[in-house]
Amino acid sequence: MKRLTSQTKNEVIQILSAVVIALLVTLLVLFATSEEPLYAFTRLITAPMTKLRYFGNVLELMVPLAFAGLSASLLFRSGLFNMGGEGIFYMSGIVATVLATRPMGGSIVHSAIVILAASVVGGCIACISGFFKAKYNASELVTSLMLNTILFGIGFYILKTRLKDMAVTGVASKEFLDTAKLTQIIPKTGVTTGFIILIIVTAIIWFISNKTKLGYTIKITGINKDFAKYSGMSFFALTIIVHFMSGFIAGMGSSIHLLSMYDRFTWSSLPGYGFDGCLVAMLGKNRPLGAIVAAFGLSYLRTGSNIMARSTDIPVEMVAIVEMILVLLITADFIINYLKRKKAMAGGIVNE
Amino acid sequence: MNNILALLLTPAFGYAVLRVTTPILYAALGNVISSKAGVSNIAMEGTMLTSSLVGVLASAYTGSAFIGLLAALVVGILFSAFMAYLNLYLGTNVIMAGIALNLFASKFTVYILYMLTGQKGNSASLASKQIPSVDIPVIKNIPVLGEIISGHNILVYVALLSIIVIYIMLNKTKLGTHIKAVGESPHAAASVGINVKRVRFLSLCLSGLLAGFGGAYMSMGYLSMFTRDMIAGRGWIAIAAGAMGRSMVIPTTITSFLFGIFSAIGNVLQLQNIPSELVTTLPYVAVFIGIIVYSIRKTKEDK
Amino acid sequence: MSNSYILELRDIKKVYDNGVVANKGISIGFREGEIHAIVGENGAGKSTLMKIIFGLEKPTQGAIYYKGKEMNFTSPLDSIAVGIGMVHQHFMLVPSFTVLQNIVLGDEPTKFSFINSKASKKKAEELAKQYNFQLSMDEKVSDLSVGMKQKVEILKLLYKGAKVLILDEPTAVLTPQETEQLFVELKKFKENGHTIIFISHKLGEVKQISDRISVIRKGELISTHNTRDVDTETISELMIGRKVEYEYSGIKQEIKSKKVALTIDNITYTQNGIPLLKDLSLKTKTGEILGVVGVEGNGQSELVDVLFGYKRAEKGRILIQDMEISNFRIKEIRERAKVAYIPEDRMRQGIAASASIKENIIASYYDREELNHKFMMNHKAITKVSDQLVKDFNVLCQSSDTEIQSLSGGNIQKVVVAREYNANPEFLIAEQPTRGVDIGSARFIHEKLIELRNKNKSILLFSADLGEALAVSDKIIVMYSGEIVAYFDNLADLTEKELGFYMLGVKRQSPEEIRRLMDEKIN
Repeated sequence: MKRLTSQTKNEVIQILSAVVIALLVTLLVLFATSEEPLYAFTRLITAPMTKLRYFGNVLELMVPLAFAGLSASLLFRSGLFNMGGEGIFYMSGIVATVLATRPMGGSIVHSAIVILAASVVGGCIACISGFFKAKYNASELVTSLMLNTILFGIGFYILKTRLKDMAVTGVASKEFLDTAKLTQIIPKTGVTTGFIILIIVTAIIWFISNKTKLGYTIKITGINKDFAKYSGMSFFALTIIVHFMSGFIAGMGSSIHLLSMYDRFTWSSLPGYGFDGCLVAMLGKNRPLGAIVAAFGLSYLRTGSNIMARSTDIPVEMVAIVEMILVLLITADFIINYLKRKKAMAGGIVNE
Repeated sequence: MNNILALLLTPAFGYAVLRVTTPILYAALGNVISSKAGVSNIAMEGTMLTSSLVGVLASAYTGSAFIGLLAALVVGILFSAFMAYLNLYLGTNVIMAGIALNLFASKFTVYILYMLTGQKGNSASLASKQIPSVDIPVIKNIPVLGEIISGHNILVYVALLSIIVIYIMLNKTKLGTHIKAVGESPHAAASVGINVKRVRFLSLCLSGLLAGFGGAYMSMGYLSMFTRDMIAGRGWIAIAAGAMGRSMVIPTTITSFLFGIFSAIGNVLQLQNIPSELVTTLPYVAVFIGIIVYSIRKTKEDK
Repeated sequence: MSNSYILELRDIKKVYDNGVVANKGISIGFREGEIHAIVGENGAGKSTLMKIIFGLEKPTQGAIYYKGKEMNFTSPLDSIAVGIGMVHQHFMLVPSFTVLQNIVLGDEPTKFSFINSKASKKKAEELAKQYNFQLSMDEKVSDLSVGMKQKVEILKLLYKGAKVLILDEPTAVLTPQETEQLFVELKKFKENGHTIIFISHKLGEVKQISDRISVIRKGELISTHNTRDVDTETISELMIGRKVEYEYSGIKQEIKSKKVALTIDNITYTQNGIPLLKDLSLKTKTGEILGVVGVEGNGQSELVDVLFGYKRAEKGRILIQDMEISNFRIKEIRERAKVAYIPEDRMRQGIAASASIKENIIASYYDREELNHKFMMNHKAITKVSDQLVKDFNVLCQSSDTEIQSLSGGNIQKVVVAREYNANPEFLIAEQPTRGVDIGSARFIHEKLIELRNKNKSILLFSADLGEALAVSDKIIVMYSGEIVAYFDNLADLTEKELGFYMLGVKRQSPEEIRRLMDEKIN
């Protein structure tokens, strides 16, 4: 392994100070708005660790966040701002539901077919924006946002007209078959074999990012597209591949989440994981391992605030304040710049 | 089919188009100003949402719709000023900051609503005020035209007026010239002593002001209360409209109206037994196709 | 010091935030109504000094006196207000604005906060007339020629009441006629009492137009002279310090088995209706360095772009040896035709700034077999290659894992050259390979180019530095207005001055002559 470079050191300082500042502000807000601020704060910070079930909640929520975050960070890393994760989560969920509600082979085979199909569909959907970006330079930000709503409309239509279980009130699909559902690994929680898949996928993405030609091309293109072009790298191919991978991962996250946590498909609006994924990617500085850590942190925070909300007068949405402060402090480069400048002033690099 | 056509040709349809276009128009014009200055404000969604809540709260607590509007505008400006500060002075990527602020607004508005009313879904328990609608004297008596144009919320007219104001501001005033110069060649602007950051800051604040109008209209005109995530993607549509209108006032206005027309058509079709889920995607499909066609044409031209 | 100076710099020091020292205590006085040339090599610190005078940068130390009073410029607004204006090398104009809009930008006259251009238009038109500028105030700047744009810049300063005009390399982009015209205008300004600070490295022009010359080298003022008292040789020596004569004839080996390397047949390239390459043909041979010289903007960059597949010529063929590459993608040009490329703008096209040296040094051949195990990258092999290159090319750095942007310009350029050299090209396009690079590094880079030549490879060397072109090349072509106007196969008696005539379009060889010379030498 490499020695700790000054860059990593700076980043660690930055992240730690962001966390400390965010927690301090949270405390301030709680003092200002709550009857029992210290109790609320303790619940927020420590509750997820007090029961195995709570910790299970952290892990089960972490899975979709991490998949969405991995998906977004791949794109951001190559300099693409696509926010289509929302629509893909929904549409891949519909695909997963279609397959999970009808019998299809034994347990592992069935789950595998469902997840694979959802992932491939996710990949293909992402390629729509990807293709028009690569070929015609159509803003992937705008097309992906439009696609989110379009996909939701189509998906919801399919849900209502084809998948709806008439026996239940409200819009819900038929029950997923047991063969499709994933096996729990922590009893009484939604932590399933899906969590293991997440770890494997993260390892693969990390491997691709750091050890393969593709990862290298992604990095170089993300830093300087022109240079990548002059070096003979194909922007078209890269854009398509990255979009496919990103959509694939999002689709996988959606199906795994459904098969772990749900008995039926019940989403009657976009689930929000796509945008959360952008948040996770930003917190994780667009790196695969960063995404995992960030997803865990975010999930921990949200689970903690859920528990806090149940036992105090503070609503769960309070967590938005913490999240925003974290993201802003981690994405702003002023802390890093400050550290760099301090070093430059002290050391005095002289050119030529 | 004839049935539907007949519905589209009524004055009520025209009225509806104006009504649904208004919030998009505000946000799209706001986007135009910031894009002209070279910074894309993609936090329109969150800014409008925050403003719509603040408008409702301020009007409910003061009993004055006007103060509600004023508060919404101030908050719109502050919200954007915050983003501008992050981007211009702390070096946060403007898209990243925009995404983060949108997510923040979505939850934070619910938090505030809950802290103040104990409700999370809407502000129905608050006696918030409506910004009044007005009839336009002479025009209201003209058949058809009167029915389409007259009787709207004041903010609808403000929106129409702001098209002209912004057009003039960008093309005839010093500030507008500086905004365009800063967006097109920041170095040239800096070389004659224009403070690039300050102009960009100001443009973002102006875009926030317009978002503030849009937000106030949503909760004090379009509806009479705040509901959770009530902007429902209008901020994003506006950015698409700005992109299709190449950040020019008139084309962006036209695109916004096209979007409004498609939305209104959607509303009409919903009554006609055509599945509403599909119909509501209509405007988005239109924008999607528009962006693609525009990009293809541009690529061909450049070659 | 005498008080007759209108503008005086005292002990100006500038250290940038990142620690780079640009000016090390410079003191110069400018007299009212003189044309004062500031000469120095690229990177000598001229531009920084001018930015300080103009208020774009703050000096770390030292003071500026204007008409005897100490000034504290915090923005160009301050310097403009007292009467100092600058024409930047890259024009500071808003292309979509009209001439008038550009002239009044930043200081628009308003009436009830609306722009009121009546009075300003009249004033600008009068000024234009006074100096014989043929400008239409309502024309869009994007429609103007380069020379006209420069006039807009100058008019802009006069309009703002500038008494001191700073011109940063004003002739670099001009045709000879335009240059001549500019000089006439400059003399007229001088007659009217304006002070002109003229930055250049074209000594001929400096000698022709200036009253006094200040030489800057490595951030220091070397000396100031009355122009009539010095000759260009002396100035050039002062600029460079020791007399740099690149001399490589000793290391150029005789190449026996030369073949045709590059054939360009009648290519034409047009942009926005302006023909930038006009039916251009060229042949080069292996074992030779062909220098391409010309005033910037005469089709050189377009030639590079078309050669390297970045742009497509609308007509004509390009062959590397026997392989037609006219429709190749960059990757194919690099891999199948074995062409390598040292780009002009290293920061934009030559490196990924926040990646490591290692990642940069393999970019153009990262997918070679020896650097990979199938689809995995072989980090061991990559480290070995990079460390070797870093050593061979004397790149000063902590390790090959260092971020490349933390290196100096010369070392970054060495990384770029190392990469393209190591790509093992049959044909190398080197575009300004030593621009902004210290002399030591420049020599080193030249030697590497010659090393390639000695291996019977072919090199196309685009250079704005005629000394470099003459010393390094075996043959030279001159480009003017999208055409090749001269071909020299014997550089022994060729002087920079003679080249200058062709570059400025004063002289040209006939197309038949050029073709005959090229073909004769090839066959």
